[in-house]
Amino acid sequence: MHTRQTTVTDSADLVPDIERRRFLTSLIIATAGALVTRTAAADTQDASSATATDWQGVLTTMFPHDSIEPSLYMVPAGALAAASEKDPGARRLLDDGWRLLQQATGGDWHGATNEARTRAISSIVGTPVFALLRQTTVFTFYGNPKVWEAFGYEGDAWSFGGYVGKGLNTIDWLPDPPPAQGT
Amino acid sequence: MGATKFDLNDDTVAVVIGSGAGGGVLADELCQRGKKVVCLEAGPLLSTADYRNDEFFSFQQLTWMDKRSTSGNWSVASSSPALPAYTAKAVGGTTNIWGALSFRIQPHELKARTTYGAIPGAEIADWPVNAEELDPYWQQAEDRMGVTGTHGIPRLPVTNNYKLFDYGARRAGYKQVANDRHAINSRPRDGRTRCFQLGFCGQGCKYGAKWSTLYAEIPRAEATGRLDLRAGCTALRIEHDGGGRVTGVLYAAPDGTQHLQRAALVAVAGNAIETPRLLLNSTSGRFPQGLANGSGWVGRSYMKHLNSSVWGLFEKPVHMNHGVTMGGTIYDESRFDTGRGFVGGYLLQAVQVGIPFLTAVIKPDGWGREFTRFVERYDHLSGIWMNGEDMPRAENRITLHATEKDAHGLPIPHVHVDDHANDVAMRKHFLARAEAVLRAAGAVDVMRGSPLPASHNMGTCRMSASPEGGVTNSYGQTHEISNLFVTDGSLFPTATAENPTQTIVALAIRQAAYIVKQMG
Repeated sequence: MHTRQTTVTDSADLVPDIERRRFLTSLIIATAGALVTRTAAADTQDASSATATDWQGVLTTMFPHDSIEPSLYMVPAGALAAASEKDPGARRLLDDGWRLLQQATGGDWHGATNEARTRAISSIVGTPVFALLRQTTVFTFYGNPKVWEAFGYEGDAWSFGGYVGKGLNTIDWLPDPPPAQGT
Repeated sequence: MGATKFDLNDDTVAVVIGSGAGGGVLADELCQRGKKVVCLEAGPLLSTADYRNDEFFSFQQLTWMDKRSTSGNWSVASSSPALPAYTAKAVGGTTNIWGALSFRIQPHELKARTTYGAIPGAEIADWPVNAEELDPYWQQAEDRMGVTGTHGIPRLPVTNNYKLFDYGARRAGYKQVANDRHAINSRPRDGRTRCFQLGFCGQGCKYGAKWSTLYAEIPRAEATGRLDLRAGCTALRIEHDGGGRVTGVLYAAPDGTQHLQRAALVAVAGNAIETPRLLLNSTSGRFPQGLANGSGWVGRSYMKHLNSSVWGLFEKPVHMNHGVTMGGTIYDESRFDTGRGFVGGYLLQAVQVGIPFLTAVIKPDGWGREFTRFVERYDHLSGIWMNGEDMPRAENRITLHATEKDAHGLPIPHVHVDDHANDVAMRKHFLARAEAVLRAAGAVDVMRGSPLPASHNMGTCRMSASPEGGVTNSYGQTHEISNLFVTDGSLFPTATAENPTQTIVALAIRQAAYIVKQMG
């Protein structure tokens, strides 16, 4: 039958890691391509590119979760760095963003306090690079079952047959609703 | 797909464009009454085995992603400019992903102009059909769809999310609160199993317990031997003869080749953006403004319900994702009461989403501690959704893009919406009331969600008593072309407070009876 070809992020970990990484890179490049047309061409001659570790620090500031193993931020951070290496459009956008963050922290992101870093992030809200960082994090961090587990989201329920008799009505700190009228 | 194939030159068939709540039901009804039907569906034929409990995967698998453009002051134009509506592209249409809340429209809402009076900046109209006339068709729809709380069908069991919602609602002073009106089997019915509470209604129900034309109407119609379902086929243009009757539909097959299927009648059920687009793309010397558009109403009065959401954070675990997506409804605010500062009303509905949708679409710009402190306590959250009546405005409309074309060389649809002052006032009221319900249930903090691209798209080929006031009569038959019909939410003259699907189904059943009677 006419089943549509789908290329998607598979949050159920069914895609081998390498395929997954390749897909993430192309996703970020495509996103950057769409975003970069909306921004003025940046002069990136002198900009030095951020490393995956740098992006990890940025994303940890943007989406702080004390209970999360820091390496989980490396999934989006690594994908950003890979996209930057591979695609000039993504690189231009990311270099530009990194420069803005450096400027906003007096040229020393690494030495800046968490408060100063958060203020720096505030200064790029609404820019294309902010959107790219956010979308990448949503797909690869908030779409990661390891993150779900830490926050109490089980994801797929088909594998265990749904919640009937398995957690459907477990709130014991409220009374039951009054009986339904009619049927 | 079934074995039935009708010839392209068979001009005795009815061509139904779309296979969702409108098209799927109409196709089934016509087949059951002995008519031959060719159903053109732009999306692929999937099955419940293809569905996955995975929000991002399913979004890519099922969503109508074809490019659209937007303008106007509504927030969706900036938050989701290329995807202004969230509908499905697959056999079964948006019944694949719908939340399955099924309502009748209140009698006074069908007389909106009479009840609300004139509203500046809005084209409020009475429906050309009243509640008494619709009653038998709503009953048939409820029976067909298996709506809980009707026809002796038990309600679904109480979920955590509903329990909290019900408690908060009553403490906030609401009286009409119910875990009812789900078109989801609470026990085996109509050859389908019961709900096992996967909590992924919006990703396609893998048990097939939720009503969808994909596995309810389409197989039943195919069993008659009179349905020729053509999946992956995109309608491009409706043709007509010198007498002004439609004669067939030009469509693109999955391999890109174009074919003309001749027809005795054509019913368009492509959802309220694609339906007017097809009529507007079908211009001719005789119909220079597009088919059935002598009145100029095709594409106008686009409505999408006011949606919004508020999320409460609780001290103790809630596990909102344990069970159906839409948990239940508070009806009190759907009354007519201008003392609140607006006409029309809204429903408050218990809702849950997973972490992917929470972070991607509910808070599309969230960041920092004020965002992450909600996300990281996901299992302590509960949501309330708004479904409110937005105003029909002539300038809120679907038009053809001046320059951008789709893969078939046809202009993409452009969606323009400006919020009406009534819309703004109603949404503000909801945000305060939803927060009050969550706080009454014990929420220690609340987060407001962004309005989402609409799944309820309405109004763009509205029914009207007179040919000047709309596009079709009360049977969905276009005023200008007697064998051209519209069979989806485009027909709604006003949005009403209720989720639209059950009324789309009722109108399709009523239309089928009319077609058989009129055309023999």
